Amino acid sequence: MTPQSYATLYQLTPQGLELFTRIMHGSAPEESLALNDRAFLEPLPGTGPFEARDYGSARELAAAVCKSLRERSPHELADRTGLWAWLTFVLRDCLFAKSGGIRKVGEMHRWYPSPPGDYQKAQRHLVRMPTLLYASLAEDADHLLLGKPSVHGELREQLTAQQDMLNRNFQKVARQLYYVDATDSFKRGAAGSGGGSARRLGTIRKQLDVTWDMTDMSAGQILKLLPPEFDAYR
Amino acid sequence: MRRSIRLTGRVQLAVSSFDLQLRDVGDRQVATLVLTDPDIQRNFPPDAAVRLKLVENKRVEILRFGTLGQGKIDVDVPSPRFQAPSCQIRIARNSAPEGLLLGSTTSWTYKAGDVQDGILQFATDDIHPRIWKLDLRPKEFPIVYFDQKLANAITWATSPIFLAFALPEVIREVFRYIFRNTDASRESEDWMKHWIGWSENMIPGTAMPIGDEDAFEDWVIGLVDTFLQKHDIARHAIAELGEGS
Repeated sequence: MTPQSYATLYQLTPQGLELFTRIMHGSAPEESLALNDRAFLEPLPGTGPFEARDYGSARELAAAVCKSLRERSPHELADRTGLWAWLTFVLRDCLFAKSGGIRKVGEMHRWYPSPPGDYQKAQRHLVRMPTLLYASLAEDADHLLLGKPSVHGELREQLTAQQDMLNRNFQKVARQLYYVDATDSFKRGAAGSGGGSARRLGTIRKQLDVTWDMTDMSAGQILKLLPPEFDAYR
Repeated sequence: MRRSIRLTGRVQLAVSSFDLQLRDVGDRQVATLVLTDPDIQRNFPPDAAVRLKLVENKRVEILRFGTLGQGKIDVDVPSPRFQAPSCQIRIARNSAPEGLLLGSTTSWTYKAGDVQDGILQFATDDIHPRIWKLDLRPKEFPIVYFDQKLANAITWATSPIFLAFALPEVIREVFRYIFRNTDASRESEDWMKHWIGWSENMIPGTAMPIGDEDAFEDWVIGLVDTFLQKHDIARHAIAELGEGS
């Protein structure tokens, strides 16, 4: 995509959001959302410059958004639908690159931010969720933010599906199990459904949660509780 | 005769055994937790840790209220402040085996004491810079928050100004949420059924379209217009604001 710089972050107005939705559904042309028309968008006070370009990974994109947010907390802004929709729109070539002249945007929750309280869908947004994870967990979210921003990814889906998973110590465990620092990649089998996989970690976490208060346990303590099927990943 | 056997040793604690309040004290938010059931102190060791888990908008915070023997009542909540977090109280061993869960409540959503019930609920909170805000969650009735700095904030729920300028957007947003989360293969949540029931009373015989975005948008515009017409909301708003030429 051609890089485009903006002096601040912006948020779409209700009118802009309506047009954005129609564009993403393919019933309005992309050019109709003029990014200099104040009827459609307004600057978000307290934010800094942002460059819309091809980001190599979800982590790189999340770091850029956090930098533009400056002192503003992405958690406080999680329900600013207009902000996340604007980011999605200006990053559309990075998130939903055209193929054969056609842009496939996929499931709505990937591009239209669900209410942040919707724990079943909110984590699927391709800009907001990486930003929240990066802001909360920093390097402990490395394993969740691997790969292109356009890909939600099985590991992120599995390891953010339960509210209690968004705990730094639990994510430290997951990072230790599945992430390879040297190659910035996953271990083989992590995204599968076999023994010791991320999917299994979610299941086992639920079982352990009935007996242990893992919210306040260190990553080392949690690792010790895991059954032998995780040995191959330790 | 049936016997229930607990395999884990964990005791299910009633939410009513605790009184939790989230209060603003100056710039800080403070959680106040009071045990209202004396059995809890009798049934667990005094060095057991009392923790409160708060979850909202993909953020988790654990507040530590000391131990049952030497408890704290007030604990600062790290910023940014929580509004209506999901809460769970957990009592865990502090001595070996450390972290063993002795008792826990189910999770519940914290709501400030002034929430008004109905299919659309109203509450006040610090939502600056906004004056009102709609909060939608998968399993609970929608809540409209008014900023607490607004004089007599909760009375705005029935003000002709709110009904004319904000409520139509609230209705549209609630139904858009229902539309996006409805398909033929699964049952709707209870609160969604109440809203669908309300729409069927408003425009009988016209069911909410499923799966067709354009048909849905036409339907919801018709619903809002009917609502405004039935309650003569424009006339009330003009009476409040004054008639122009």
